[in-house]
Amino acid sequence: MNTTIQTKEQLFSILSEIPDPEIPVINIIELGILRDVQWDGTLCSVIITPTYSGCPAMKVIEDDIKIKLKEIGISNVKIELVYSPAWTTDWISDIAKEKLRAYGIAPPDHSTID
Amino acid sequence: MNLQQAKFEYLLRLGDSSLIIGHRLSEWCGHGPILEEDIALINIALDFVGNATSLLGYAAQVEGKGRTEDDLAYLRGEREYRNLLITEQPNGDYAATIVRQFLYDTYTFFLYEELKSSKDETIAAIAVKSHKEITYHLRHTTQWMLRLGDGTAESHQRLQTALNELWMFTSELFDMDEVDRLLINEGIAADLDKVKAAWEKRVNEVITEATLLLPVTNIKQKGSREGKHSEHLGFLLAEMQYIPRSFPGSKW
Repeated sequence: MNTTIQTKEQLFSILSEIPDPEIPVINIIELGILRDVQWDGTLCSVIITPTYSGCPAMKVIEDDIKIKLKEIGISNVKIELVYSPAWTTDWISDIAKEKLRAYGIAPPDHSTID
Repeated sequence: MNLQQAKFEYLLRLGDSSLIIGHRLSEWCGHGPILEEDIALINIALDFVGNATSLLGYAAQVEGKGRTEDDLAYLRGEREYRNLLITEQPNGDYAATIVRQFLYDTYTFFLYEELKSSKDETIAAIAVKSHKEITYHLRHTTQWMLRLGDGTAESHQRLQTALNELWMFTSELFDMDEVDRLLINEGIAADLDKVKAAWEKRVNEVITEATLLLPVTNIKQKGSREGKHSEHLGFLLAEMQYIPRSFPGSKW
Protein backbone atom coordinates (compact mmCIF):
# COMPACT_ATOMS: atom_id res chain seq x y z
CA MET A 1 0.00 0.00 0.00
CA ASN A 2 1.30 3.38 -0.93
CA THR A 3 0.10 6.13 1.36
CA THR A 4 2.89 8.56 0.59
CA ILE A 5 2.01 12.05 -0.53
CA GLN A 6 0.08 12.06 -3.77
CA THR A 7 0.28 15.11 -5.98
CA LYS A 8 -2.71 16.33 -7.92
CA GLU A 9 -1.04 15.16 -11.13
CA GLN A 10 -0.50 11.67 -9.73
CA LEU A 11 -4.10 11.46 -8.54
CA PHE A 12 -5.46 12.65 -11.87
CA SER A 13 -3.30 10.10 -13.61
CA ILE A 14 -4.62 7.29 -11.41
CA LEU A 15 -8.24 8.35 -11.78
CA SER A 16 -7.83 8.64 -15.56
CA GLU A 17 -7.97 4.85 -15.52
CA ILE A 18 -11.68 5.03 -14.73
CA PRO A 19 -13.81 4.76 -17.88
CA ASP A 20 -17.18 6.39 -18.32
CA PRO A 21 -19.63 3.59 -17.42
CA GLU A 22 -21.74 4.19 -20.52
CA ILE A 23 -19.03 5.04 -23.06
CA PRO A 24 -16.06 2.94 -21.93
CA VAL A 25 -13.69 4.23 -24.64
CA ILE A 26 -13.21 7.54 -22.80
CA ASN A 27 -12.34 8.20 -19.19
CA ILE A 28 -13.97 10.49 -16.64
CA ILE A 29 -11.28 13.15 -17.04
CA GLU A 30 -11.52 13.29 -20.82
CA LEU A 31 -15.29 13.63 -20.50
CA GLY A 32 -14.92 16.52 -18.06
CA ILE A 33 -16.73 14.82 -15.16
CA LEU A 34 -13.78 14.85 -12.72
CA ARG A 35 -13.25 18.50 -11.82
CA ASP A 36 -10.73 18.33 -8.99
CA VAL A 37 -8.99 16.01 -6.58
CA GLN A 38 -6.84 16.84 -3.55
CA TRP A 39 -5.05 14.76 -0.94
CA ASP A 40 -4.16 16.55 2.30
CA GLY A 41 -2.49 13.57 3.93
CA THR A 42 -5.59 12.29 5.69
CA LEU A 43 -8.53 13.09 3.44
CA CYS A 44 -8.94 12.87 -0.31
CA SER A 45 -11.46 15.41 -1.63
CA VAL A 46 -12.90 14.73 -5.05
CA ILE A 47 -15.17 17.04 -7.01
CA ILE A 48 -17.30 15.68 -9.83
CA THR A 49 -20.08 17.16 -11.95
CA PRO A 50 -22.80 15.35 -13.93
CA THR A 51 -23.07 15.76 -17.68
CA TYR A 52 -26.83 16.13 -17.21
CA SER A 53 -29.00 16.37 -14.07
CA GLY A 54 -30.49 12.90 -14.31
CA CYS A 55 -27.31 11.03 -15.20
CA PRO A 56 -27.82 7.57 -13.66
CA ALA A 57 -24.08 6.79 -13.92
CA MET A 58 -23.01 9.20 -11.17
CA LYS A 59 -23.33 6.67 -8.35
CA VAL A 60 -21.32 4.12 -10.32
CA ILE A 61 -18.65 6.73 -10.99
CA GLU A 62 -18.49 7.60 -7.28
CA ASP A 63 -18.05 3.92 -6.42
CA ASP A 64 -15.38 3.51 -9.12
CA ILE A 65 -13.44 6.48 -7.71
CA LYS A 66 -13.57 5.04 -4.19
CA ILE A 67 -12.40 1.62 -5.41
CA LYS A 68 -9.56 3.15 -7.45
CA LEU A 69 -8.35 5.30 -4.54
CA LYS A 70 -8.54 2.36 -2.18
CA GLU A 71 -6.17 0.47 -4.49
CA ILE A 72 -3.47 3.03 -3.67
CA GLY A 73 -4.27 2.98 0.04
CA ILE A 74 -6.59 5.96 0.29
CA SER A 75 -9.88 5.04 1.93
CA ASN A 76 -10.84 8.34 3.55
CA VAL A 77 -12.56 9.90 0.56
CA LYS A 78 -15.08 12.70 0.30
CA ILE A 79 -16.81 13.02 -3.05
CA GLU A 80 -18.70 16.19 -3.73
CA LEU A 81 -21.19 16.50 -6.59
CA VAL A 82 -21.29 20.07 -7.89
CA TYR A 83 -23.61 21.63 -10.46
CA SER A 84 -21.72 24.85 -11.01
CA PRO A 85 -20.10 25.59 -13.35
CA ALA A 86 -22.49 23.48 -15.40
CA TRP A 87 -20.98 20.83 -17.64
CA THR A 88 -20.74 21.62 -21.31
CA THR A 89 -19.71 19.50 -24.29
CA ASP A 90 -16.86 22.01 -24.69
CA TRP A 91 -15.15 20.19 -21.82
CA ILE A 92 -14.75 17.01 -23.85
CA SER A 93 -11.08 17.00 -24.84
CA ASP A 94 -10.05 16.81 -28.49
CA ILE A 95 -8.48 13.40 -27.93
CA ALA A 96 -11.75 12.21 -26.41
CA LYS A 97 -13.71 13.56 -29.36
CA GLU A 98 -11.57 11.48 -31.70
CA LYS A 99 -12.11 8.42 -29.52
CA LEU A 100 -15.87 9.03 -29.60
CA ARG A 101 -15.77 9.33 -33.38
CA ALA A 102 -13.87 6.05 -33.67
CA TYR A 103 -16.43 4.46 -31.32
CA GLY A 104 -19.27 5.54 -33.61
CA ILE A 105 -20.57 8.56 -31.70
CA ALA A 106 -20.54 11.90 -33.53
CA PRO A 107 -18.97 14.39 -31.11
CA PRO A 108 -20.36 17.95 -31.01
CA ASP A 109 -18.08 20.61 -32.49
CA HIS A 110 -19.25 23.16 -29.95
CA SER A 111 -22.11 23.53 -27.50
CA THR A 112 -25.35 24.77 -29.01
CA ILE A 113 -27.23 26.21 -26.04
CA ASP A 114 -24.59 28.51 -24.55
CA MET B 1 -42.25 31.00 9.74
CA ASN B 2 -38.48 31.40 9.71
CA LEU B 3 -36.12 31.45 6.77
CA GLN B 4 -35.14 27.79 7.11
CA GLN B 5 -38.77 26.63 7.13
CA ALA B 6 -39.58 28.82 4.15
CA LYS B 7 -36.62 27.50 2.21
CA PHE B 8 -37.53 23.89 2.96
CA GLU B 9 -41.09 24.51 1.80
CA TYR B 10 -39.92 26.31 -1.35
CA LEU B 11 -37.51 23.51 -2.26
CA LEU B 12 -40.29 20.94 -1.78
CA ARG B 13 -42.51 22.88 -4.18
CA LEU B 14 -39.83 23.01 -6.85
CA GLY B 15 -38.59 19.46 -6.27
CA ASP B 16 -42.02 17.84 -6.02
CA SER B 17 -43.23 19.44 -9.24
CA SER B 18 -40.16 18.10 -11.08
CA LEU B 19 -40.49 14.65 -9.56
CA ILE B 20 -44.19 14.27 -10.32
CA ILE B 21 -44.08 15.55 -13.89
CA GLY B 22 -40.96 13.45 -14.45
CA HIS B 23 -42.73 10.35 -13.18
CA ARG B 24 -45.80 11.12 -15.31
CA LEU B 25 -43.67 11.50 -18.38
CA SER B 26 -41.84 8.25 -17.65
CA GLU B 27 -45.17 6.45 -18.08
CA TRP B 28 -44.69 7.02 -21.82
CA CYS B 29 -41.72 4.65 -21.80
CA GLY B 30 -42.38 2.07 -24.50
CA HIS B 31 -45.60 3.83 -25.56
CA GLY B 32 -44.32 6.81 -27.56
CA PRO B 33 -45.94 7.38 -30.96
CA ILE B 34 -42.61 6.87 -32.74
CA LEU B 35 -39.31 5.51 -31.44
CA GLU B 36 -37.46 8.83 -31.60
CA GLU B 37 -40.23 10.51 -29.64
CA ASP B 38 -40.37 7.72 -27.08
CA ILE B 39 -36.65 8.25 -26.42
CA ALA B 40 -37.04 12.04 -26.29
CA LEU B 41 -39.89 11.93 -23.76
CA ILE B 42 -38.02 9.54 -21.50
CA ASN B 43 -34.85 11.60 -21.62
CA ILE B 44 -36.86 14.66 -20.62
CA ALA B 45 -38.43 12.62 -17.81
CA LEU B 46 -34.92 11.74 -16.65
CA ASP B 47 -33.92 15.41 -16.61
CA PHE B 48 -36.89 16.18 -14.36
CA VAL B 49 -36.12 13.31 -11.98
CA GLY B 50 -32.47 14.39 -11.85
CA ASN B 51 -33.49 17.97 -11.09
CA ALA B 52 -35.83 16.65 -8.38
CA THR B 53 -33.02 14.59 -6.87
CA SER B 54 -30.82 17.66 -6.42
CA LEU B 55 -33.65 19.87 -5.14
CA LEU B 56 -35.04 17.30 -2.70
CA GLY B 57 -31.53 16.40 -1.57
CA TYR B 58 -30.95 20.05 -0.78
CA ALA B 59 -34.37 20.30 0.89
CA ALA B 60 -33.44 17.41 3.18
CA GLN B 61 -30.16 19.13 3.99
CA VAL B 62 -31.92 22.41 4.79
CA GLU B 63 -34.44 20.58 6.97
CA GLY B 64 -31.58 19.02 8.94
CA LYS B 65 -33.50 16.05 10.32
CA GLY B 66 -31.39 13.38 8.70
CA ARG B 67 -33.81 12.64 5.90
CA THR B 68 -32.58 12.01 2.35
CA GLU B 69 -34.04 12.84 -1.06
CA ASP B 70 -35.30 9.25 -1.23
CA ASP B 71 -37.11 9.61 2.11
CA LEU B 72 -38.82 12.72 0.83
CA ALA B 73 -39.75 11.14 -2.48
CA TYR B 74 -40.94 7.77 -1.26
CA LEU B 75 -42.18 8.22 2.28
CA ARG B 76 -44.50 11.19 2.07
CA GLY B 77 -48.22 10.92 1.41
CA GLU B 78 -50.17 13.03 -1.06
CA ARG B 79 -51.17 15.67 1.51
CA GLU B 80 -47.47 16.29 2.15
CA TYR B 81 -46.69 16.72 -1.54
CA ARG B 82 -46.36 20.27 -2.85
CA ASN B 83 -46.25 19.72 -6.61
CA LEU B 84 -48.35 21.94 -8.84
CA LEU B 85 -51.64 20.37 -9.89
CA ILE B 86 -50.79 20.53 -13.60
CA THR B 87 -47.81 18.23 -13.08
CA GLU B 88 -49.93 15.34 -11.79
CA GLN B 89 -52.53 15.45 -14.56
CA PRO B 90 -52.73 12.17 -16.50
CA ASN B 91 -50.92 11.82 -19.80
CA GLY B 92 -54.16 11.41 -21.77
CA ASP B 93 -53.51 11.24 -25.50
CA TYR B 94 -50.28 12.48 -27.02
CA ALA B 95 -51.78 15.95 -27.54
CA ALA B 96 -52.67 16.26 -23.84
CA THR B 97 -49.12 15.34 -22.85
CA ILE B 98 -47.63 17.86 -25.28
CA VAL B 99 -49.91 20.67 -24.09
CA ARG B 100 -49.19 19.93 -20.41
CA GLN B 101 -45.46 19.85 -21.08
CA PHE B 102 -45.54 22.99 -23.21
CA LEU B 103 -47.39 25.01 -20.57
CA TYR B 104 -45.12 23.73 -17.83
CA ASP B 105 -41.86 23.96 -19.82
CA THR B 106 -42.59 27.58 -20.68
CA TYR B 107 -43.15 28.16 -16.96
CA THR B 108 -39.92 26.49 -15.82
CA PHE B 109 -38.00 28.19 -18.63
CA PHE B 110 -38.76 31.63 -17.19
CA LEU B 111 -38.83 30.49 -13.54
CA TYR B 112 -35.36 28.95 -13.64
CA GLU B 113 -34.09 31.90 -15.65
CA GLU B 114 -34.93 33.97 -12.57
CA LEU B 115 -33.53 31.39 -10.14
CA LYS B 116 -30.16 31.49 -11.90
CA SER B 117 -29.51 34.72 -10.02
CA SER B 118 -30.81 33.44 -6.66
CA LYS B 119 -28.68 34.53 -3.72
CA ASP B 120 -28.78 30.95 -2.48
CA GLU B 121 -25.73 29.46 -4.22
CA THR B 122 -27.05 25.90 -4.36
CA ILE B 123 -30.38 26.96 -5.86
CA ALA B 124 -28.55 29.16 -8.38
CA ALA B 125 -26.20 26.31 -9.37
CA ILE B 126 -29.08 23.85 -9.82
CA ALA B 127 -30.97 26.48 -11.83
CA VAL B 128 -28.05 27.11 -14.20
CA LYS B 129 -27.68 23.39 -14.82
CA SER B 130 -31.42 22.80 -15.25
CA HIS B 131 -32.02 25.82 -17.44
CA LYS B 132 -29.73 24.41 -20.11
CA GLU B 133 -31.89 21.27 -20.14
CA ILE B 134 -35.20 23.14 -19.96
CA THR B 135 -34.16 25.12 -23.03
CA TYR B 136 -34.17 21.85 -24.97
CA HIS B 137 -37.47 20.72 -23.40
CA LEU B 138 -39.21 23.91 -24.43
CA ARG B 139 -37.80 23.77 -27.94
CA HIS B 140 -39.09 20.21 -28.26
CA THR B 141 -42.62 20.85 -27.00
CA THR B 142 -42.95 24.12 -28.91
CA GLN B 143 -42.16 22.31 -32.15
CA TRP B 144 -44.86 19.74 -31.42
CA MET B 145 -47.39 22.46 -30.51
CA LEU B 146 -46.85 24.04 -33.92
CA ARG B 147 -46.82 20.75 -35.81
CA LEU B 148 -49.97 19.36 -34.21
CA GLY B 149 -51.84 22.65 -33.90
CA ASP B 150 -51.21 23.58 -37.51
CA GLY B 151 -51.42 19.94 -38.66
CA THR B 152 -54.46 17.89 -39.59
CA ALA B 153 -58.02 18.67 -38.53
CA GLU B 154 -57.82 15.88 -35.98
CA SER B 155 -54.46 16.88 -34.47
CA HIS B 156 -55.67 20.48 -34.28
CA GLN B 157 -58.88 19.44 -32.54
CA ARG B 158 -57.09 17.20 -30.05
CA LEU B 159 -54.62 19.92 -29.17
CA GLN B 160 -57.36 22.51 -28.70
CA THR B 161 -59.35 20.13 -26.48
CA ALA B 162 -56.30 19.46 -24.31
CA LEU B 163 -55.55 23.16 -24.06
CA ASN B 164 -59.13 23.90 -22.97
CA GLU B 165 -59.04 21.16 -20.34
CA LEU B 166 -55.65 22.02 -18.84
CA TRP B 167 -56.07 25.79 -18.81
CA MET B 168 -57.76 25.85 -15.40
CA PHE B 169 -54.53 24.58 -13.83
CA THR B 170 -52.36 27.43 -15.12
CA SER B 171 -53.29 30.25 -12.76
CA GLU B 172 -51.89 28.27 -9.82
CA LEU B 173 -48.42 28.42 -11.37
CA PHE B 174 -48.15 32.06 -10.39
CA ASP B 175 -49.69 32.09 -6.93
CA MET B 176 -47.46 33.51 -4.24
CA ASP B 177 -47.80 33.29 -0.48
CA GLU B 178 -45.82 33.98 2.68
CA VAL B 179 -43.07 31.54 1.67
CA ASP B 180 -42.48 33.30 -1.65
CA ARG B 181 -42.60 36.77 -0.19
CA LEU B 182 -40.16 35.95 2.59
CA LEU B 183 -37.69 34.40 0.16
CA ILE B 184 -38.12 37.10 -2.49
CA ASN B 185 -37.14 39.64 0.16
CA GLU B 186 -33.98 37.63 0.74
CA GLY B 187 -33.24 37.46 -2.98
CA ILE B 188 -33.63 33.68 -2.95
CA ALA B 189 -36.95 32.98 -4.69
CA ALA B 190 -38.31 34.07 -8.06
CA ASP B 191 -40.91 36.82 -8.36
CA LEU B 192 -43.73 34.94 -10.08
CA ASP B 193 -45.35 38.14 -11.33
CA LYS B 194 -42.33 38.58 -13.57
CA VAL B 195 -42.47 34.95 -14.63
CA LYS B 196 -46.18 35.30 -15.37
CA ALA B 197 -45.73 38.24 -17.74
CA ALA B 198 -43.06 36.41 -19.74
CA TRP B 199 -45.08 33.14 -19.70
CA GLU B 200 -48.27 34.80 -20.98
CA LYS B 201 -46.44 36.50 -23.81
CA ARG B 202 -44.67 33.36 -24.99
CA VAL B 203 -47.71 31.08 -24.61
CA ASN B 204 -49.88 33.54 -26.55
CA GLU B 205 -47.34 33.71 -29.36
CA VAL B 206 -47.07 29.94 -29.74
CA ILE B 207 -50.82 29.36 -29.46
CA THR B 208 -51.44 31.94 -32.16
CA GLU B 209 -48.77 30.52 -34.46
CA ALA B 210 -50.18 27.02 -33.90
CA THR B 211 -53.56 28.37 -35.13
CA LEU B 212 -55.15 27.53 -31.76
CA LEU B 213 -57.46 29.65 -29.64
CA LEU B 214 -56.61 30.90 -26.18
CA PRO B 215 -59.09 29.23 -23.79
CA VAL B 216 -61.53 31.44 -21.95
CA THR B 217 -62.43 30.21 -18.49
CA ASN B 218 -62.84 31.59 -15.02
CA ILE B 219 -62.27 28.23 -13.37
CA LYS B 220 -59.07 28.18 -11.38
CA GLN B 221 -57.90 24.98 -9.75
CA LYS B 222 -55.63 25.51 -6.77
CA GLY B 223 -54.56 23.75 -3.63
CA SER B 224 -51.10 22.22 -4.06
CA ARG B 225 -49.53 24.69 -1.64
CA GLU B 226 -51.68 23.21 1.12
CA GLY B 227 -51.27 19.66 -0.12
CA LYS B 228 -54.74 19.56 -1.68
CA HIS B 229 -54.45 17.60 -4.88
CA SER B 230 -56.59 16.22 -7.67
CA GLU B 231 -57.67 12.59 -7.42
CA HIS B 232 -54.80 11.56 -9.70
CA LEU B 233 -51.84 12.08 -7.36
CA GLY B 234 -52.73 9.27 -4.97
CA PHE B 235 -52.67 6.68 -7.75
CA LEU B 236 -49.38 8.02 -9.07
CA LEU B 237 -47.75 7.84 -5.62
CA ALA B 238 -49.16 4.37 -4.99
CA GLU B 239 -47.31 3.15 -8.05
CA MET B 240 -44.15 5.22 -7.59
CA GLN B 241 -43.76 4.38 -3.89
CA TYR B 242 -44.79 0.72 -4.05
CA ILE B 243 -41.35 -0.90 -3.68
CA PRO B 244 -39.96 1.30 -0.86
CA ARG B 245 -43.29 1.04 1.00
CA SER B 246 -43.50 -2.73 0.60
CA PHE B 247 -39.88 -3.40 1.53
CA PRO B 248 -38.98 -0.64 3.98
CA GLY B 249 -35.29 0.12 4.20
CA SER B 250 -34.17 -2.61 1.83
CA LYS B 251 -30.90 -2.10 0.05
CA TRP B 252 -29.38 -3.74 -2.98
